Amino acid sequence: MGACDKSTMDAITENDDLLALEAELVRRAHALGPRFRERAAATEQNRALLKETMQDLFEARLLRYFQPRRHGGFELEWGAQYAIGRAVAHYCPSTAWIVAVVGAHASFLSRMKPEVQDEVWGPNQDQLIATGSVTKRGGARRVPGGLQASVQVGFSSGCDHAEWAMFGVKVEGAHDHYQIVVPRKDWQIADTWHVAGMRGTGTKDLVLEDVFVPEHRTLSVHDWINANPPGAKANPGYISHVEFMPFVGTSLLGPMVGAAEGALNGYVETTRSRRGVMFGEQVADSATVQLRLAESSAELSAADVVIRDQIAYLRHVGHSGETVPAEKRLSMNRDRAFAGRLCLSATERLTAQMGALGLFDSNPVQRHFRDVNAIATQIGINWDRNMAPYAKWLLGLPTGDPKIDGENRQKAPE
Amino acid sequence: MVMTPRPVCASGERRTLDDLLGVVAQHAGAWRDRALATERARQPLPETTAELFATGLMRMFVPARFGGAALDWDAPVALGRAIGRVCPSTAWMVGVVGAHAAWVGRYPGAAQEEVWGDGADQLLCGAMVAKGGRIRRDGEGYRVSGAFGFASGIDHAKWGFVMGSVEGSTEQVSCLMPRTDWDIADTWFVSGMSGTGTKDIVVHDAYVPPHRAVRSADLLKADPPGATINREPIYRAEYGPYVGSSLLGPILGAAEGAMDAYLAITRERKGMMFGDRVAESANVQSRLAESTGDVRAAALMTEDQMRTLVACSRGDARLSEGERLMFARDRAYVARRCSEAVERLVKHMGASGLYDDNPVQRFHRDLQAMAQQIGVNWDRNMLPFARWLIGGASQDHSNWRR
Repeated sequence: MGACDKSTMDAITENDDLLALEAELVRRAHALGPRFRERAAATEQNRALLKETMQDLFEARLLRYFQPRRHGGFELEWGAQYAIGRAVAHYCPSTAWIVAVVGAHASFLSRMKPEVQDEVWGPNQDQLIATGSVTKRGGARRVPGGLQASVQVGFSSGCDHAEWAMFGVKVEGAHDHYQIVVPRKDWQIADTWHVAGMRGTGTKDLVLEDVFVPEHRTLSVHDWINANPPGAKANPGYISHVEFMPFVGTSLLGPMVGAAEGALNGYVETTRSRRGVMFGEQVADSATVQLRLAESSAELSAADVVIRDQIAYLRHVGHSGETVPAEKRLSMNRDRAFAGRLCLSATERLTAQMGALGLFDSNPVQRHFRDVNAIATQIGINWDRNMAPYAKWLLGLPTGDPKIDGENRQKAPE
Repeated sequence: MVMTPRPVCASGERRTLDDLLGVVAQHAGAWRDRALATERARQPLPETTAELFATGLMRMFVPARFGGAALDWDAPVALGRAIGRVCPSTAWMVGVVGAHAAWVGRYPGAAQEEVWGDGADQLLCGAMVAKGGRIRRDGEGYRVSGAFGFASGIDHAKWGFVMGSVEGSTEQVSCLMPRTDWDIADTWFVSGMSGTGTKDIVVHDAYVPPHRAVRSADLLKADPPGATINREPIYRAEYGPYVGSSLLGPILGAAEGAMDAYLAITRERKGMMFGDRVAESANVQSRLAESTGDVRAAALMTEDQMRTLVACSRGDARLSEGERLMFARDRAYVARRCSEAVERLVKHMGASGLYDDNPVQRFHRDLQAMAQQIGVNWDRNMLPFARWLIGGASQDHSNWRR
């Protein structure tokens, strides 16, 4: 593909204009998009990305946006995963998830000790780094020279294509959890991913049976998430330096908005030529159809504007090193949940009008709808969990988060 | 007619938007305190109107050559929003009525001289709906008679303009007339925005000379007659894309004011029957969070729109057809987010939410009234965008916004 020939790629890595680099990656995402769309049904059936898609992503450098520069990456601005993931999700939300959510794990690893970064990226710069967000059983114990882990972790998107994985484990007797980085030979995959949406992400379980993890591949979550983790010594980009917590939660927004926009695009395309199957009327002529379309598109614009504002703020924090105040952390959580609801409601409104046509697997709107639903179950955008704490804060009530309650002041809403 | 240059401003300095926002911050407390009295007076109070003139707020869009600030399109939105937070009716006077100066600044120079020659502090009311009023050709000019509706702030106006079709044609004209040409018919008995005093102009068979009667199309297009003497973007850029945007300031401000008032009440409120602390209810918290989310999204959408509109009016960017329709859609959507945000809270304030001295219910009624405006009307502004989209001009949602 001309869009991704080697010389262009080498030229842009030398470029210091991070936003131009981001725009180039978005352009590549759109250039590859039609392929991803063609493969979307097969990807869903495969319940994991297809090998050829992974090859396309590596070749176009779409997984390197947060990878350290010293390992062939770009260390782009936070939010690059939103722009790129959103573009890919227009064509295939599962592929977008691998790009934006799993791809962003490079920033996780960039905060670990430099030695493990060299181990992962030294031999091969094309890496997909899996994680596991939930411990289903087990943990680790301290042994001489490192940790010994026996653990099953859930929700490891893209693990079929990963050479390395990184996740948190509880360590016996230790107050803190530890991040560990493990190579592929250390884990088995438990295929639990039989789901209603986002099937193509291959989000299975990783099982470690009595695996030794040397010290340099471990780091306490406390040291990892606070400002200036060990990786800060190695990488200049602010993502390896900042207090990380306020930044967590951005990555799924690109696939979410893009999946909903993909549903809307598909709906528009179908509706242009659609005639009622019973009476043959032109569906697009219906004022209520037009109204649904307009309202859904307005909701998606609102979601996008809210998210882009949040990203602009986080970029400012990244560059300035400012602390994110309690109110802002809570209102950002609220805004993400709010944007999630907008995406879901926009998509539901359209599918509700598609008639029985909307039920068929061959209808891409239907897949996008299931994908948006699946994304909306994520805890980071869970309505109850993210909305009420902001209101409690405004009302002068304890939010339950000790750090935030320490700063609680009555203020006007933002 | 030869124009003599005038000093920039009586007080020497041309006000910036930040200056004027500072003025609002100084007076906000007083305007909040007068909101109920203003509503009961069914028109702006004389002391408030005097302050709006004295502080330069009403000169926001008066041409610089007459001592005005001639600010950009985002000014009425920012000022209307800041004032709307304490009194939406007062916000309307600045953000909507004050913005009429941009319209008159597009008229031929002779008309502007008549209006502002004796001083920049003129309240210009406008009536855009003919209620039996007639406009006929008369020689070089027009003859106007009868009633035209919805002239906000009319009680304090020295000049008024009416818009309507010329009899026997579909041509629309905008006729500017001094106070001596017309009377006020008090029809403003309404459920919201009472303090704007939006009454009818009744014209007594007045002759309007050609420099004060201009085809609306000629005023709306880029480079209207006044653009030869007023060079700022508001007098030169095509007017259409900006028409509804000035409504957004008072609308957003009213929603934000309602949140402030609701919070102040709910922090302390105890259930009247059982003495429970209302703030501790999970439903109350969920509704409040959702409403603040609504208003936040509305504010960001408005700011996004104004950034683009200002850039376009300065010639730094061009507005595509899709963007123009999208912005109209967004204006309706913003108004809906704001009115739903407040409605969600009002519905659950119990009987205490009914009383006149509860500001939340006044903000709510004001919002409902403003959401009736054609510029933010749901059906009218939502459908054209959808038709454009289905029409095939663009399939890619992500290309609509800059």
